[in-house]
Amino acid sequence: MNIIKYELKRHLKSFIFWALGISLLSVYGMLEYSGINQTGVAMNELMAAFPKIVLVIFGMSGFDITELIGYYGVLFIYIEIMMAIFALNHGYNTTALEINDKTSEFIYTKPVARGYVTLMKMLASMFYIILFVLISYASVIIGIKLNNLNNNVENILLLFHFSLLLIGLLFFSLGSFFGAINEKKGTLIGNLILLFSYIVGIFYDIIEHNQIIRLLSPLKYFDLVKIINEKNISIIYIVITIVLILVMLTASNIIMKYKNLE
Amino acid sequence: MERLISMNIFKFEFKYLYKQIIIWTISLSSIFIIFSAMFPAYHDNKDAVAQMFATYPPEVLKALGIDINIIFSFNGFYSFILTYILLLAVIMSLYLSISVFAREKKNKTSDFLLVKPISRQKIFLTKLAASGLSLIIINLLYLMISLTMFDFLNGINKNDFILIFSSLFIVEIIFFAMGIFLSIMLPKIKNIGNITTGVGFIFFIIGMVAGILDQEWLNYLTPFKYFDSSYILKHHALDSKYIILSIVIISYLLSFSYISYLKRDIDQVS
Repeated sequence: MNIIKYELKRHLKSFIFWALGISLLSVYGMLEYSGINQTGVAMNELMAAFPKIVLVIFGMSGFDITELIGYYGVLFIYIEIMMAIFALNHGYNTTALEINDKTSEFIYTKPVARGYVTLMKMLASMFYIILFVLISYASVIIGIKLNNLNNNVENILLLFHFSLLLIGLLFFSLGSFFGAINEKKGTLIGNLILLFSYIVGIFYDIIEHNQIIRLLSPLKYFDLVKIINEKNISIIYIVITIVLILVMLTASNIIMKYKNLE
Repeated sequence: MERLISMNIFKFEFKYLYKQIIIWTISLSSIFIIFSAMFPAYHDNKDAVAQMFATYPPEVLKALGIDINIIFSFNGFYSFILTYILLLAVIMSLYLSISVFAREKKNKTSDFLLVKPISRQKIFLTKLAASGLSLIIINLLYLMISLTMFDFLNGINKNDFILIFSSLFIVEIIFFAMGIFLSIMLPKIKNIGNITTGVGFIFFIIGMVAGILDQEWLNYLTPFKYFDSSYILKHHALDSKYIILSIVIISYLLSFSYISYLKRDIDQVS
């Protein structure tokens, strides 16, 4: 419990900045939507005429931006990326941080098992990831209410944020896994995976949703356009993601247990 | 030359940098080539779009600033894909400068470097020369490769193409200077990868959101938006307002980092 308290306090400051960022993005985005709404129809017609690749490059492929949910979907991609960066950083904190800071001998000599320390650190980080999701959800709902927009989209928003949670946990476990394997190069690998999966995601949109490409890009496991159209999330990818998360978190915990600390 | 930079440090830094030069050149060029391979498919849409636009009154198209011949030329296509090439290039520039300037801070070896009989001024300039040279080499290689591709795809108007490239290069220098600034000003640097992608993506997201929300003032906040390619294609020049802004930002960041590098207290190994 002491470890959790300490970890929560330690990362509070950076979390406040992130929370401010996402809530500003959501509330301000909704404010602007009421403006776009009127001129939107002509805009949509015009956009439909353009080659697909242009829409993909603006991140708008498949979204109907005159609809509230389509418009929010375009913004939501960036919330997902922010979440991925945030979660990678937290994953790194759970494993590699103390080794690189040369403070491992302080924390790992406490009269608790090493696995317990890692577990507590993971719980504290997961708490912040869940809080991130909740704040994002709350701020978009507030944004909708503030601008009196029609709000029969709450179900889809819930699905969006469920997928946000899974993406966050996935990148969190990636960060902690690679941090545990190699504390020097680990986060670099994690960040490269994020960049790679973002760029592969663009190709996934251009090449008409090829499933093999989709497997390579975790950001596209929960395709927002599909969520809007089908009103549910593909179960297979939920299972894949949860299995990946569990495997990587267990693995990083075990690696940390047997790691040779200097 | 020997008076300004120390060859030993230069060689030491370059030993790490040459690997990065290879990796970044390959990744920048390959993303450019993969995107360019889609150009023929993109170009095929021209007639359909032209037909649709024919139904619009010409004033509307003029107001929207749409010229079909420009959009469907290779330069027009390049200006679309530039968004992502820029993202990669920015992360590269940040990584080049931060990895060189923050090495001592990250490894807590500042006192090993700074007790050498070399002035701090010389160390700063050497590091700047080594990382700056790598940035220039990467960009020259990228320019050569992309020009070859440009000729191969029968692109027209090489001048505009080179102008767009130079806008890319200016933005890279801004972020390169920002990387130096951050490495010197941040009290603690634990992880270079995290800072690099964090800073790069945050400015990228501000830029994309500015585009979606259609807010002019947001453009000033992010160098990603300084050089609008459609402006270049229309006026065949870079926007002078933003050139001045870039020069101001770069010189401010570099001179401030330089002064504070000479004066700051170094972190000790406890």
